[in-house]
Amino acid sequence: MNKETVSVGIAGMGFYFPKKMADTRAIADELNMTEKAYKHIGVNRIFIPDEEEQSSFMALEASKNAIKDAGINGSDIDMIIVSSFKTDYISWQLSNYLRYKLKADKALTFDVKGACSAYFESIEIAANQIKANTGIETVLVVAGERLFGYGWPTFLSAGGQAVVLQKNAKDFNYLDFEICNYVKCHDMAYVKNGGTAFPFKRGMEWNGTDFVSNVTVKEDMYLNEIKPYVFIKFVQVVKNVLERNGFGLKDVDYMISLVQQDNFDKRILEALGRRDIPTAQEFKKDIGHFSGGDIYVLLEKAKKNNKIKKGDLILFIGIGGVAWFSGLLKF
Amino acid sequence: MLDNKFKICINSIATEIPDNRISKMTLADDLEVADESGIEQICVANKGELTTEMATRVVKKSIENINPKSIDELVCISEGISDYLYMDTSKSILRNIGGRDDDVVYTYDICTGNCGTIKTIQFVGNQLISNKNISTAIITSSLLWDNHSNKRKLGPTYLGDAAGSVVLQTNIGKNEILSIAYESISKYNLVAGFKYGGTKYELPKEALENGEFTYGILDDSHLAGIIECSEEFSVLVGRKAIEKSGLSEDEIDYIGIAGFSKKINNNILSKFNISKRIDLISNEGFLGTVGAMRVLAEFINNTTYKKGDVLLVISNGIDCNMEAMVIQK
Repeated sequence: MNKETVSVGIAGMGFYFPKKMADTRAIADELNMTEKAYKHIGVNRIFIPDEEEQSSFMALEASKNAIKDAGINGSDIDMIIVSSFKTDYISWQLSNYLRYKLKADKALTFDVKGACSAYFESIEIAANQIKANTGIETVLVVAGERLFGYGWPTFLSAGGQAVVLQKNAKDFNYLDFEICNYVKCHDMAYVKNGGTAFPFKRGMEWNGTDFVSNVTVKEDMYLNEIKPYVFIKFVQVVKNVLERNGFGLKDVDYMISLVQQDNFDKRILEALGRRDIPTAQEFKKDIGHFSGGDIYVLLEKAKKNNKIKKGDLILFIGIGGVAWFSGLLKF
Repeated sequence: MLDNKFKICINSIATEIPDNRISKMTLADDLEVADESGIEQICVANKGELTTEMATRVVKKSIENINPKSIDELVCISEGISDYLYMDTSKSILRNIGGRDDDVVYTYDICTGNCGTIKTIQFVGNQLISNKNISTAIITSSLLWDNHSNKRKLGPTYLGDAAGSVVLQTNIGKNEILSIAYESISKYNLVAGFKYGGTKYELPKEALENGEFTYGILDDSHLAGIIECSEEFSVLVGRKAIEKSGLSEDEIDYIGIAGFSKKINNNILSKFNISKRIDLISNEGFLGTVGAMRVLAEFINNTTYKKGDVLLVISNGIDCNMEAMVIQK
């Protein structure tokens, strides 16, 4: 029995950027970062949230903008998927809050937890829901991340990113997705204290007031089992998604990747053997890295600046948690 | 799902309920409140148990006849805390059971509150229908509350430890899901969660050392709203599920309920003309996302229930969501 082929596209996109921006040079100086390391990152400014700009606030504002861009009402939304690393509270559904605030009275809701990977996962889940043709036609995917400052290997930026996926939406059509899930090395980084293995107790080791200062990294795992394969895996997920859809690298008109180091796109293109593909790199230096939602911030900028045209095949790629993702959009 | 040529089915299901029990006499500061819940005792895991260990055992039990390498998706929906903070529990479990670990395989950690198993079945079911890479999917939850609750109290109820695993496939000719329905009183969305660890309050050492990293009520007014509306909306969602199934109430053989209060459970059940019931709360406590799995496991695995029997299962929690499902064995 064939799995059916309903068309899914982007009906609207919306974003929220905090009012305040910070010069990353000042952050780098505080960390005694070398000039070489700073330039290697290539991000000049990031968005810094104030007290009001919590995860829920930014996600809501981005959602409102996306709904307006899509020309729909909250009552048209069948499903809300929040992609989040950290929202206002742990084990609390931000998606229920958005359902209430947006008056999305028929929406089924859930939050996908994770880092950059969660947004890619959420988008594919959303597309799957619509393609199943069981009555879900409009899905809102949204992130509101309040992480900011230096977060290896780049500078993190706070903000909200929302996308409305809809059945038969014309503007950007999702053709396919690919994933390489590196389950065997997923525990490269974690916070030791606080879970069921080592519950919090008096006298335990704990630095600062957030998780960042308490992350344990298995450096050997990263150096031996992840780093050597980063660009090999990117090539794998890109080639798989292209070949399965009858395309080759020659057919790619534009590439969008996450905000990482300054030479990230260049290295990917070198690995692919197509250094000439235009990318969204030029837009990255003044925004920083939000989440997997970077892709849509950059897509919007590419569209507004006429870097892409109707008919273009757009390749989007990312990495997070540890997994590699790729997808194809037809403009 | 009713009109689709793909029928979502539960291939197998397993739950783990620890043998240890704590009685309400031990738990409750106020026995009147404890009596209201109708919970006599709750199940409690052994000290030192890990979230992923319990989850791994129960997932392995649910896939006894399935090659772990054939699992395409594993979704963890636990509202509790994993072995470590900010680590993907689903990936740990998949690795532990010997699943594919460097491949096209989907793992998600999902927050659905403490009532969200049935809607997860719905969204995973849609993936089974449309995603050519997914033919076998698992939904699991593993809850351990000894160190992450306020003496296991959550508003008017008591949290029990448990784990569950549901294996979903399509068109296998058994345990077919006929309908799913969903209601939400999302204006009461701020009812339960961990106050610390999110963006509002972060993780200050003093609070952590004082034992404040616990799953609790975030807003008492939202809790009051949930308690007031739970019965009405649970009955509504049950009726919706029956209507969507295309069956009449007379054609439903059993009704099961996963909820947080025996009294509310009884009130809900009394609104349906279905005499044969499955309600396990008294001896296990409120089991959150595992609760619906317990009811389904009882129906599917117990030979008392015959092939062809139809179950309506309703689920609610200290949560603004209510959900229901009709399934035929």
